[in-house]
Amino acid sequence: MEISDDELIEELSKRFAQSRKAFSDLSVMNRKLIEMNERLEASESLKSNFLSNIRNEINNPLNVIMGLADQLAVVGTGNEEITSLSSLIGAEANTLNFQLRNIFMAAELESGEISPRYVKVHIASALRDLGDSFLHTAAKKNVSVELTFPENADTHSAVIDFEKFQIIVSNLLANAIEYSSDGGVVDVSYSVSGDGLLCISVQDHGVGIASEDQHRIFDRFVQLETGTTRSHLGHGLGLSITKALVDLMQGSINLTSSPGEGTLFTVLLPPCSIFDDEDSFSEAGNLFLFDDMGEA
Amino acid sequence: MCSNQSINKHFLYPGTIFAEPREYQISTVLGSCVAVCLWDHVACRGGMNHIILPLWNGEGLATPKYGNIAMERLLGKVLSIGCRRECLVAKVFGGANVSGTGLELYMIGDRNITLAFEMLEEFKIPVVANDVGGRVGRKIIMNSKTGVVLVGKGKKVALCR
Repeated sequence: MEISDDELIEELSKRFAQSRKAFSDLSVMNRKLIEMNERLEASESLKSNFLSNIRNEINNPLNVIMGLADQLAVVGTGNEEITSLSSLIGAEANTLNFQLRNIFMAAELESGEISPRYVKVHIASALRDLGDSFLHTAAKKNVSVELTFPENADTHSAVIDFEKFQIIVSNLLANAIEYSSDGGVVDVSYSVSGDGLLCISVQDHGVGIASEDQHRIFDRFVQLETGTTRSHLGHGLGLSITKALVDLMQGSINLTSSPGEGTLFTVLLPPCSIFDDEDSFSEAGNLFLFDDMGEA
Repeated sequence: MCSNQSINKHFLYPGTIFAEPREYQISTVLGSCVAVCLWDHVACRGGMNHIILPLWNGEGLATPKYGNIAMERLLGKVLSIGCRRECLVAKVFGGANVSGTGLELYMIGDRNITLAFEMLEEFKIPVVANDVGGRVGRKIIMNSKTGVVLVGKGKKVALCR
């Protein structure tokens, strides 16, 4: 088929016009997306600022309540009613404290102004204390928490960030208890390998997670069951915080699960000595210096 | 390297940011990650971020592990410690293709570099120095008062993928 030059030019101009229109549509859409993104980021940052501002306003009264509940228990020794009421106040205040620590930790992680603070921790005692702090919650669900430690656990200590370790294990424990069936058992164990890698496992025998849902559970505000009819407590922040904390400490978190057979979470935390490579790059004498920024 | 031994030191962990009004020696280790140093040449103070992935996809926590968030947060932080936007200059480091395969994690390093430069252009902050790409990891040490950044290159990348 022959076409004249004029026809060719006409066809080309038509196509160019179409491309221009498509390009301008895309630019408009892109601008809208950028605006939307800016609004989202602004709202994210407002939320983060709000949380860091109210931190003390909330923590101080809560600490007072917890302290007073302890004192009440001491003062009321011998009076069964007072003892049981004060232990209830203490247990509920502890639950609230756990949730608030999660929310503030999420805010801290999102601000980025966070660093691991490594201290030497006796792992077995730390896990025992954490298990004890969930006794009340576990009893309410008729779930028992069983701790299994390696033989030489009494001599084991690891250099970890204690506060973040507590939040990681607490979240895994809270989840395991929440998703256990009545009368279930939650197994907690740990091991430390020769090179100092700390491995903590938390296993429940509850509802389990289908493989197609497993990639979603570390997203924030995600609970596999949503809506007003959901049967499990929680805000969907715990596992996203756990993941972010494990990432911060250069560790990893894995899960093995199938519906109806429970879930096993395994957290691996490397020893902090890998960060002590202060001179690893300068050894070869290959440090060089950029000019002072003054020249800009 | 640094004659003043009493200088405050901060090791910047991946996915975090740091900026303080006082003089600090901020160091970090980079593989495919990218670190952006912002420095006010008048106020003589600044800070650094450490980007692991380019964009936050709305899942997980919105931490400065993601470039788009890390750049906004670092800018916000340096302005909050008394830097002025028009006096800021930037230095960009990292983004190596450490495994050297060319397919490495969908070229995360390259995408981190592109994002950092694009956002700095958007912020209208000039990039006065950069050492990006390549195949080896880097260790960088920034003096937050003088703005001087020392760069070491080597194969060992302990921290960053």
